[in-house]
Amino acid sequence: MNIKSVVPISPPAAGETHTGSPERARPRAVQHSAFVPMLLGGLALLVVLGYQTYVLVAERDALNATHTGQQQTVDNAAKLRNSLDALAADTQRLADIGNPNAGLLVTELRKRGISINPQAATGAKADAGAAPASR
Amino acid sequence: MNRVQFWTVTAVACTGLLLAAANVTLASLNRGLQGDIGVRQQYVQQSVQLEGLYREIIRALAELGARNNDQDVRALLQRHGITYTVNAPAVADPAATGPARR
Repeated sequence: MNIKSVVPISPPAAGETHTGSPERARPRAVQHSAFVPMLLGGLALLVVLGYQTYVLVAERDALNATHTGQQQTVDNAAKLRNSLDALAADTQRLADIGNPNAGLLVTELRKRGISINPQAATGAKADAGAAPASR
Repeated sequence: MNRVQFWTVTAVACTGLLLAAANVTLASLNRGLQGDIGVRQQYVQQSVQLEGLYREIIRALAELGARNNDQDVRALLQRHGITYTVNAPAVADPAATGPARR
């Protein structure tokens, strides 16, 4: 009878693997590049800023249209003011030389708190561009 | 990060910077334009109020000039392109104004 010695083989412990060489068992350190997150962040910023630029340009166009549309009204208003200034100044001059009707009108206007300065009125006539400047 | 990636990110960042600068400039310009429009609007509204005064002065001058036959006032209004005519007072017709008879 040939009896061989039997060596008991213990089962592998939990967590231990049979991978062969010990280098394979070591976890690999994966290196990620910062390129993708930076590119994504930059693109997101570009989208936000681009949209904002679009909105601002549209707003500017609308404002320019409003400004241009106002021009005729502003010109008419300036014309009216010049006419009023000239008429008031002439009335004041007529009152100054003793016209009773013009004097009565000037007095009534003064009672309402409206005083006429003929010098300023003639200045306003020369300063026809007193209206807000157009761009 | 390799060379291509570096320049890609740099280009994106530069574009973002340019857009930000453009936005700041546009916002500032728009604010200025908005203020200008507001000033002009205010000017027009004040002129509308002055238009009433202008009409009142013309009416008063014309009435005074017509009532007192003031040639100076008439000439003043004419210089400003305003003329007026005095309607002759209607002659009272006793037959027309009398009580109706049936």
